[in-house]
Amino acid sequence: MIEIQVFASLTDYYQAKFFLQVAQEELDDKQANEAEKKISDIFVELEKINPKAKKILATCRVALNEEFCSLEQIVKAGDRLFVFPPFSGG
Amino acid sequence: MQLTYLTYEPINIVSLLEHSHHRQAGAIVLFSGETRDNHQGKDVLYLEYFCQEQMAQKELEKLVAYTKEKWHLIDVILVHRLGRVDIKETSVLIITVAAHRAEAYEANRYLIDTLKSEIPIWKKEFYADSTEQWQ
Repeated sequence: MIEIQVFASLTDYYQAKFFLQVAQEELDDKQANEAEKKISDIFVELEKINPKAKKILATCRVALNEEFCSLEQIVKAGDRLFVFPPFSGG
Repeated sequence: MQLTYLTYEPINIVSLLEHSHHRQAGAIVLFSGETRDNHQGKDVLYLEYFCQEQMAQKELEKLVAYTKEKWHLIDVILVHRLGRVDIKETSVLIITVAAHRAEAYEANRYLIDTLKSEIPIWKKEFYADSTEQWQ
């Protein structure tokens, strides 16, 4: 499982914090590699959960375990993913 | 005195400015981002600011450290409000202290521009017609 937190306008489409399964824990190493998921794969799942969020998701940046990263980053069980709509501080 | 923080309390501009004076400073630039009463033709009642607090604090500190070194600043104060901010109140205060005005102005502009695009803070506008909108 990974923890997902969404912010700002995305909270209109998802719970602020929820969990997603990333891989079967009983897989052997080879199978586990094949089952590796990137953040972009998580985004596909998020679109399935709520298709209305697709347009906003396309504008989002992400952070894994409190560090900004790319959508190509691989996620592991226990990771915490932040999904950030465009910032608007100031 | 380098100060970089997020706060739910009103920002005391005068007090922070008083703390900015420095014997080696020839220029202090103070920027106050404020809540105005209109946006795209709608009457705004107030704003609410939200953030991912750990990352916002960490990234603000990195931004300030980078800016201070690049423009050889003597000091930087950067404070951002969270929660409700009413009309005419300060949502963000940036004070840059430098030997000369060029560095103080440029660094201050860089800080606010970068804060807006790179720091995980969001605002929501609340309008007189009872609607609200994420910005």
